[in-house]
Amino acid sequence: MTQSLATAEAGRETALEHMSELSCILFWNVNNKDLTIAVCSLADSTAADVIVLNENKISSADTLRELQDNVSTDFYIPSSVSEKRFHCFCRNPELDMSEVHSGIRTSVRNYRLGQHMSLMALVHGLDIRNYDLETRQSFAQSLASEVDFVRKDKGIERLFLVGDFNLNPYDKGMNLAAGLNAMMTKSCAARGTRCHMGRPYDFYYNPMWSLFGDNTHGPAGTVYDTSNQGPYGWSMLDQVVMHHLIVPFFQDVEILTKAGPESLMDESGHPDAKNASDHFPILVRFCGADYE
Amino acid sequence: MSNFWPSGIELSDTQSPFEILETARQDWETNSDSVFTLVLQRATSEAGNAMIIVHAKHIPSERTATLLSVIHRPNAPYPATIQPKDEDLPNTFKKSYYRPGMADVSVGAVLGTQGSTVTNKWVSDTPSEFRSKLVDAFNLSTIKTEVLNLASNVAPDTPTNSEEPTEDEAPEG
Repeated sequence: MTQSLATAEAGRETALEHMSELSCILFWNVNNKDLTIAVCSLADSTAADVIVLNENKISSADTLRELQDNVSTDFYIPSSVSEKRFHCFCRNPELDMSEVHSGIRTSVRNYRLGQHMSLMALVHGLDIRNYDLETRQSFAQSLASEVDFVRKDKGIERLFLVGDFNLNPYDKGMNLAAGLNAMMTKSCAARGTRCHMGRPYDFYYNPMWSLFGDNTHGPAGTVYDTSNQGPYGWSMLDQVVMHHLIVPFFQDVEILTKAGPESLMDESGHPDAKNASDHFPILVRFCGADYE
Repeated sequence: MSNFWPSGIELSDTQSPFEILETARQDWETNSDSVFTLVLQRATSEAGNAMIIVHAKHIPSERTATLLSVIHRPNAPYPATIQPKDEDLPNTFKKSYYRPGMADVSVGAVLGTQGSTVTNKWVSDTPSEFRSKLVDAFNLSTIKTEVLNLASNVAPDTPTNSEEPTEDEAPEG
């Protein structure tokens, strides 16, 4: 009895130690604007370990300089050969973050979660303005095929995807078996795989489902558009989606509406496309230990 | 003397696209002194066609990059079409591209009264044609740069992107 209590206590201590291994990823589509000041404010206020900017018109060298001057000299640009689409900054070398695969609108990086090496796939889906829904869903299917290849080629099963998918979590490409197979709840994803046409497909978990609508803490989505490209008003185009083996390491995801003291919202509570970006940033937190 | 045999078909040459890509893989390994290889990934397109995704692999670093895909019908290796990676590049990064002018928009086309023939230069009907187009695809500047980027050793802390985007790069959203 005493021994089991001691074991439980030791387990708690280990868990607490791993709590300090929390890592944060900030992803933001900055809509080709110079939002360097806001990026620095976000880096400072969130203490994000990794910052990924999409559609950033400012050179990554300039953004890095601003981050180093205003937030932390620890920031660096991780090793990469395809820095055109994603501008990536890291201040925790233990995470690794080096690029292992350059795909079509994707960049896959090593990402250390505690004792485990995992993979982080940065994604920029085909844009809504120039591609119809069928084409974007087809992209999701080839994306699923690509990350499957990378996992097998690198011998690493744990993989998560972060980015602007230009699809909503409920769009077919995100949840078809041959697409990203991303489920709404952890318990759905916990089944591990499902069989379709005689072939098993690994489940992914999409926590962005939980952030839709009025009954949530933050805004109802990451993008607001009432044109014919946004029939629901709010869309959740910026997402994190994770392989079921990553779920135990997942802490939470948040849609951010402030960069330090500055609001990223307009007076209606929508993304302030005039003064900031038409996308809200998202902040994803992982912990180093498996808690489930 | 009449010749009713279809031209371009040689019964001694019936290699499938996958077999030709296997040959290409060996060629890459030989010519790069085993620094590079090709990884061939079988997949299925959304339309149910067979797809082979071709990735380049830099063996010392184990980094990979997707180069192109080849699509054909499930049980018929030809016709086969190549989809190079550069199809997705903004015009800014292409050495040359076609910019349509007003003369391209005919009244008939606008009214939908007249059809037009669209040529897909990446479709091959025979193994020899596929080989030739595969060589063309591997020589696209975007694929060459992808390979060179894989081979280059970019150290952390090195700012890798100092270029400013140009004005004609289309916004994506």
